[in-house]
Formats: sequence, C-alpha cells, structure tokens
Amino acid sequence: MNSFVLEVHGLCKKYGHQLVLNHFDMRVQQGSIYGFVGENGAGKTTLIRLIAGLDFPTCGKLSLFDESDPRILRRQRSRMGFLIEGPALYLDMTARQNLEMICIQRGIPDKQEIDHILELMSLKENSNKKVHNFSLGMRQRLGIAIALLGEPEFLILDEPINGLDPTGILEIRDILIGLNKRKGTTILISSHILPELENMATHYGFIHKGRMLQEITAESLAKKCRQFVLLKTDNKEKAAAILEDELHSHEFDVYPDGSIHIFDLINRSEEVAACLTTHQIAVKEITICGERLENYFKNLIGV
Amino acid sequence: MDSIVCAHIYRFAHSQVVKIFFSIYIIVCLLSLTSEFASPSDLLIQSLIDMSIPSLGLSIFSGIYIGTEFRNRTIQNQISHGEKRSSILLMNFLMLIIVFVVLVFIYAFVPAFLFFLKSGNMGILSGYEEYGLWPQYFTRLCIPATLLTVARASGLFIIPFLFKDTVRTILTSIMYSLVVPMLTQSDRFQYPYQYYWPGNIDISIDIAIVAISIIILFIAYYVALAFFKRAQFK
Repeated sequence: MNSFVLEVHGLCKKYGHQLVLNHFDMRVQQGSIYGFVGENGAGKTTLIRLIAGLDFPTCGKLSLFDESDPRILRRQRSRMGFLIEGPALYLDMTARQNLEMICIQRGIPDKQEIDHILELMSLKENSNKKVHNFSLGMRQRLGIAIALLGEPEFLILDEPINGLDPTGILEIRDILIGLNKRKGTTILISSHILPELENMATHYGFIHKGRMLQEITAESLAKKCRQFVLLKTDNKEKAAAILEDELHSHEFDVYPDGSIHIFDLINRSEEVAACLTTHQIAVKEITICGERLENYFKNLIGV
Repeated sequence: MDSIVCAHIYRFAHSQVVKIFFSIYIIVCLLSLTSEFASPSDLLIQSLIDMSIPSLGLSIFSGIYIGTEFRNRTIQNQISHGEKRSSILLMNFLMLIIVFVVLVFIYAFVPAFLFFLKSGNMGILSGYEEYGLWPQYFTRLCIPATLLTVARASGLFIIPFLFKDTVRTILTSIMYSLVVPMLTQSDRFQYPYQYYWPGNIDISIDIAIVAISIIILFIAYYVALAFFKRAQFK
C-alpha cells in the first residue's frame, strides 16, 4: 500500500505569463514531519493553496491519501488541518467562540476538545477575550489551534511561527513533535527560516523558483551537513593508526587524495595536530569543515 | 450543509458586529417614520416595495459580514476543510435573502406598528381594512411586493462573491442601491389602489410577478455560482 499522504506530479501554476510552479514534484510520507524550504516567492504558499483547494492548477496531478479525483480530493481535505498565510479568525468573537464556530462547521461534537486545545496552546486564560484584542503571537496560536481541531491526520502549516516569541516557538515545536510521535500526524511545515525546522523535520523538500530542487531525509541531510576535521598529512596510513590508537577516534574516513575526515574529534583539532607532530607526521592542513543547513540550501540554489 | 446553517446561526447569536448593525438599522427605520407619516393611507405596502433603505442596509451588512469573511479568510478556511463551494455559496446567498427580507419587514412593519399605536389602524388600503380583506391584502399585495423587492435587490446577493472584500462590496452595493430602485420602481405597488381595489383583481399578473421574481433569484444564484466555483482565493 502507498504510504504517501501527498503526491504531486508535474504540477504547474501560471498567473498571466508568470509560471509560479513549474512541473513541480513532491511526495510527503505518512507520519513524517516535512520541512518545505524555499525563499520568499519561491512558490510555497501557491502550492499549499492548490493543496487546500483555494486555487486550481494549470496542469499536473495532485493526490491526497492516494486519491486524485477532484470530488474525492475535496472530501479528503476534511482529514486535514491548515494554517495558510496567517490565522483565519472571526475578530469580533472570543477565542473560545472561534473554536466553537469551527467545531460547528466541521461537525465536531466533542466540545471538551476546545478546552484541551486552549490549554495546549496556552490560551485558556485569554479564551474569553475578543480576538481583535489579541497580539500577533496569540492570534497565531489560535490559528494553529483551529488547524489542530478535530485531530487531523495531515497538518499543513504555512510559516507557523510568524509572530511567536522564542518561548512560543519552542512550545509550538514541542506540541508538533508530540502530535507526530503520539498520534502519527503527518505535518508539512513551510518556512524560509531554516533553524526552526532543524530540530523537527524528518524530511526536507527544497523549492526554488517554482521547481523542486531536492527531497531528502533529515538523516541524509545531517550527514551532508555534518562538521568534521579535515586533515592532510604526508602519511595517511600512519596518521589513521595514530588517530585510532592514541586519540581513540572511531569515526573517520580516509580518502584517496590523502585527506582524512574526522567526525568525533571536532573540538580537539589542536590535540590531533600536536599528537601527529609528536609522531613525526607532517601536518599539511588541519581545518574544521562542513555545512550548516542554511549554507547547504544556499549552495543548492546557487547563491 | 446543515453545519453551515448552524454556524451562521451561532455567528448571528455571538457576533458583536451583527448586533450593532441591526440596532442601528432599527433606529434608522424609526427615524424614517416622520416621512412615512406624510402618506399614511397605504403605509405598509409602499414600505414593502421601497427597497432604498433595506438595500442600503444590506450593502453595509454584506460588506461587514461576507466581505469580512473573505478578508479574514474564514470562508477560505471552510473550502480548505473540504466544504463544497456550491454549498457555501448557497447558504450565504439564502442567508443574505433572509436578512434582506428581515430588513424589508423591519422597514415596513416598525413604522406601521407605531402608526397603529397612534391611530388605531395599520395604515393599509382603506378598502381592504374596511371590508376585513386581510388575507387578500397579505397574499395578493404583500407577498408579491416583497418578492419583487427581493428580486430587484438580487444584484446585492452576488456582489460580495464577486469582490470578496469589505470596502469594494460596500461601495459597489451602495451604488447599486442608489441606481436600481429608481430604474425598477413598480407603480403597481406604489399606487396599489389603482390596481387592487377589492373586486378589481387580476390574479394572473400577481402570479407572473411571483414567478418572474423567483426566476430572477435563480439566475442571480447561478451567475454567482459560475464566478464562485472558479474563484481563486488569496
């Protein structure tokens, strides 16, 4: 059985002469937290609007939970929660009334869920306050609360931490990770701020100018972005032996060009150099290398 | 579809804006009483056919209610949760019709009721009142007149779904409310005593008025649906 909640093949979206999505492909695995990364204007929100049924693709295919027929696709959306370009709220009503309203619209009979969600999003104390008096961060929390109502199987959040303070960002991150772990909720988070995704995403998709550049698991990305000590000596075999015997390193790779990448002595490069010199091995070069996620993305899009 | 109806009822019950709107509208209707008293002989029926104040009221209402739903993206929220676009439109369209009828009735009945308190009669056509022809008065005059007024206002039910914005909805609706009543004034209900004196009744014309009004409303709905089904939402 297919384990993808979202599959997009060759999707295009044109506004006038501007091609916003250009034969776009994407697959979101069930149970994953998918970090959807791209610059402003790359086409992230356009894709999300197409998934939400707020706009129509010019060409291509989109399936949700293995269904691509437009009528069934519409019904599949009732299994999803969305936060698109900020929260959709009734400003002249209270936070609780907003949630009650959404419960009515979605046919959620359990009103206790409202209390649970208000508690979860730290909005309980302000639940009877009119939303037009809410700060940007509180509105964002309420928007996320609305997306979470009815325990959706697939949650799509477009820039969810906009307006949140640092504590709020951590709280939301923990809530989303908890949902993913406990209930197996698949989550797609779009963002142009990479550090917010780093400790959360299990998969990444990089979009640039309407095209999917790369889809990669967090594990593979971590390997690619991992920092290491780059060592170049006049005797790679002897250096490798010293690393293992004297410095007790277990994670290093020796390359044909003579360089050695050491992963577990990242903070001990001076000690490595001193040890090799003591054993009369000439150190030609010793530096710390590796990429952060931001640099990886920059290199990918060629900035 | 039931859930959309229930959501509207909930919003009407809890929205501050809706309460403020209806309070102000009732005050405006009471203020218009002074001019209505100038020709009290057919006060009720003339108010039912006068769409100017109710349509101005609906212009404001559709802007602050439907326009705000688009601006705050709460309608978009319903679509993204899998609700049918046609159901969303139908329920909002019917809601606007009901609100308009309520506005027409408030405009017609509030002054008539106050007139009754003052003079002991409702200010309806003297022949009908004198001979106790209440059923004929309501079925042959009030119902066709109300339906015709609703049909003349049908553009107002489409405008919020074309513009999807508060300010543009209000401005366009107000322009409609200023122009259309002048172009579609009905002498038949404006001077009903010339047409409806008891015993001088042609029922086929009344049936035609009802049928045409309903057809106009259907056309208006399908025009709105054609736009709304293909609309792209920001």
